[in-house]
Amino acid sequence: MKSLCIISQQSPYTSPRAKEALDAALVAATFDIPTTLVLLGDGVFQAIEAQAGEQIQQKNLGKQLAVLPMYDIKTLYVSTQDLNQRGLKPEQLMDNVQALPGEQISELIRQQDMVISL
Amino acid sequence: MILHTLNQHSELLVRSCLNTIASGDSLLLIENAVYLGIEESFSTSPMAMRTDINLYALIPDCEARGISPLLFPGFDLIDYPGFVKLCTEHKQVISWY
Repeated sequence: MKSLCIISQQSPYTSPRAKEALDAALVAATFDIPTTLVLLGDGVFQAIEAQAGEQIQQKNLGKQLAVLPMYDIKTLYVSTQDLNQRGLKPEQLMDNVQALPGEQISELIRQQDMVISL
Repeated sequence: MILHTLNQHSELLVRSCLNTIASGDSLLLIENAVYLGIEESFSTSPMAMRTDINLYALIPDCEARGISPLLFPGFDLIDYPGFVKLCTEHKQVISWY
């Protein structure tokens, strides 16, 4: 089975793009495709722990990302530089999120067979 | 006195807004712009230099995005009725988007 990397670059609650990246990851994982989800740019905002989307009448994206381990997507990856530029620290993110420097993210992406960027 | 509302997480938008904002004006962050209020990044933003303006952020948008605990403490947090009140208290409202 070929492996798949999904790169999500937009903040949650802006447009359907963040949700669509998550849906793509869930569908791929359901079909047993080894899937990696990487949050880059403003996408790192998706990983902030205490989200409450219901406050603006939207589904809580954080809660949905938290169930990914049940679909065998154990870890979400974010770039350390993108976090720093936005004033965020790794400890402010969800438990299943790992921050890696840009070079290691790049290496991670190069190890996958296919890439979808949303 | 003018109320400026900003709804995007964009440094360029902040800069255009700050060029126009006068002493005593108010700046309200809504929607994705609330990310600009995260203390760590706010301190290096040109907004931090403007101690002559009033800073507000909309509570539901901060809560939805999980950043209420991360905000720069200089922001006055307002709810939807507070937003309406601000609009009535200012002569003009400019939306930056």
